[in-house]
Amino acid sequence: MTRLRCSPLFFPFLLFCVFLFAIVLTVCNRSVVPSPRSSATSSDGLGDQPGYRPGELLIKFRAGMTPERRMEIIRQLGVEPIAYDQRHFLLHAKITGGRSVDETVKRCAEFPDVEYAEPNYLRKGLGKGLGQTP
Amino acid sequence: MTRLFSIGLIALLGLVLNPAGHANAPEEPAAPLHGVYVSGEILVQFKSNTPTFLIEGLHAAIGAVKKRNLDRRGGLQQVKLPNGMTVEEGIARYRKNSNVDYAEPNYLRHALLMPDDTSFGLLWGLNNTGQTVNGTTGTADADIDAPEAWDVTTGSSSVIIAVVDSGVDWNHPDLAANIWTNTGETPGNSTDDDGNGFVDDVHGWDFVDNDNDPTSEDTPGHGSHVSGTIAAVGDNSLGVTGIMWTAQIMPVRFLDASGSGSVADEVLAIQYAIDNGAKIINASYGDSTFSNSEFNAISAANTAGLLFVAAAGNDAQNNDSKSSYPANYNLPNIISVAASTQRDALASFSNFGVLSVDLAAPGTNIRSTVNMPSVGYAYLQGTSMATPHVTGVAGLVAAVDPSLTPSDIKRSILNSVDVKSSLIGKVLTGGRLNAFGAVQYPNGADLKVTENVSASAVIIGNNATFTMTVTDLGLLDAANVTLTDVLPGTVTFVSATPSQGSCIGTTTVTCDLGALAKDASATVAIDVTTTAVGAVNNTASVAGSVTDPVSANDSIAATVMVNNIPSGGGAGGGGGGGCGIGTPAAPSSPTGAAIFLLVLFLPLFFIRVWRKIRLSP
Repeated sequence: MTRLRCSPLFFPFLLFCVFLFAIVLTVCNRSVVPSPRSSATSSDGLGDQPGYRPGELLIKFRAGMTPERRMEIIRQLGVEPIAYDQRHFLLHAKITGGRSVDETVKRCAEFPDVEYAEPNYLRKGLGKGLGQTP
Repeated sequence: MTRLFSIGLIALLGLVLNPAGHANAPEEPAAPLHGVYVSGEILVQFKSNTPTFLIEGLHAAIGAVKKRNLDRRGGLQQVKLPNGMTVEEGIARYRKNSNVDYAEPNYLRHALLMPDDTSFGLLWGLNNTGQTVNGTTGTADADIDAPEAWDVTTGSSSVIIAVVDSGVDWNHPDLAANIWTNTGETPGNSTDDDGNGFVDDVHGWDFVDNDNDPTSEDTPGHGSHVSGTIAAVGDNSLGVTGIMWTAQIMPVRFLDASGSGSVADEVLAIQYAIDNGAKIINASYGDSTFSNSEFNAISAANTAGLLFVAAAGNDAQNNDSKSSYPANYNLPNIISVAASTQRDALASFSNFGVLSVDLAAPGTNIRSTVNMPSVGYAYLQGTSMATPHVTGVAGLVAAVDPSLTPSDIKRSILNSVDVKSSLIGKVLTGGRLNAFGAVQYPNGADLKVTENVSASAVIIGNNATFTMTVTDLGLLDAANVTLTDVLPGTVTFVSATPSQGSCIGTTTVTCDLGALAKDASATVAIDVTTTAVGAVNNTASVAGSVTDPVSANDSIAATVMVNNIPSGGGAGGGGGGGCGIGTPAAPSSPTGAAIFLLVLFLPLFFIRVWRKIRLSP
């Protein structure tokens, strides 16, 4: 411990380096995420967005995995397939294991073979009759 | 022989009395012409009291022949040009003569193509005469210039447009003829004849009910309304007309009867459009949630060559700070559309965003087809209604040239908007959709000139430099590009330096820049000496021999203030923003500024904390 105090500026300098490293890491991570056209933050926080179909989610698997491995993940997640797009490895699934959408999406992050998972978000038409708010 | 001698003498007279037309004089470049005109002839107006022998001499010198007088006095003449001489060249030759008041093409005139659909007069977005529609009076020409565009094209049945929406009443009498038919499928045989994975999908697919009947089930029919704006059958003496009189609308249903749909169904709908030949997808829907699956589906559409036209949203919000999807995804094939009013204002409900919303289009008080057997037509409003205006124009552009990429179509639409003060700072282009400019774009070289001045103010007697940059924003390469700068009388010419080509003239500087490739730029720097106090306004214009679809960006002005004494403006400076001595350049964005301050002060903070820790017992 005494040896560490050999320079009074050593520890502050170390903290500063860690801080800079954290900034660089954050910036690098952002660059690989599909981005919106503006600096706007995307509304993909799960807890505060009710705009998705309850009990459903979309799971994108990575290419090259075996059907057996895929079924194993589906079983472990406690979901039931509704439809599977084989060209894009995209599974539309219903949650059967009693977990919430939020919990299941977070659980998917534990599987390296899952590229992403997200709620089955809703979209709505953007036109209305006159006198109504569009 | 005598006659030949006479003609020679007259020609000589024409040349002698017209120094500007001397063979050694620099050739005036041929200015580009717009519109449709008779080839091989022009109209020439001679100044009053011009002697006949001079007129005949000029004709002879050029090798042209008078066809007839167009007025009693003979001042206005229809002239046949010699073989091989273009109309542009002929006009340039005549304009050089001081006895010529003007020379112009013999333009063709015809009635603008107007459809006979009974409710056409209510479609203010297509043709706004200032008419009152549903109780609201508009402003004349606050429209997309559809009749002008229809002189170029009214669409094509080879252009397939997927309406990914709530379905379409494909039996509607004003839509039926323009509904896509899957020719690879035999109706009603319960077989997937074309092997596309969908049984009997003759007129699209319903991903809500997972069947082959994508009929709109909502009220009054969002998808039917959108489809009518894109391509209700035109000129059929019935109801409304679409922006495309002829097209193929592919109904792909993913919004249910309540007007809501899931991304899971949407991505399948988009993939269906990709797999079955659509060129453009209309997306009059959205919400605030970011979806990777939706992003990937639209990205796949981009890879497959589909344009994706998306509504910006109806929350009156700035999409730059709060996103609306799918309009906000950063993909090159997406056009994000705001809604404009009958008076060219941004609609009160419309989302906007100078970074994230591309343009505005008519979106209030829009009459179009809705589900039968009710009234069949209704007024709706929203960015949902603005979006199909853009989609329809995109379809017209695709009809002009089917080989265009989504980026080409997008460029055609965005570069040809009518810029409006009410939309500047609200949308990226600062403008509202213009169909006429867009359909001309594929066959044009859109020259744009910008101008910078070396200083905002100079002392009298000092020099100033005006630098003009000419860029071809169009889809074709430009040729015979000429920049013309008529210098103000309060400056004297010093030099002109073009990055390519050459310049002549000292009062009117004419620079022949030659060819300019698509997306390429050329510059001309003109040095002048100031000779009088006050504002010097210098205007430059550019022209080329390839059709220029947008004339609004062909000329530009810049001003320099000439003072008697030095002012605070920094005479002779380069217009840069002088940095203080020893002060590091600070970042301009708020985020950058925050990081900058953190980097500056955090080490000091850490040192302070560390010292406290060390000093504490």
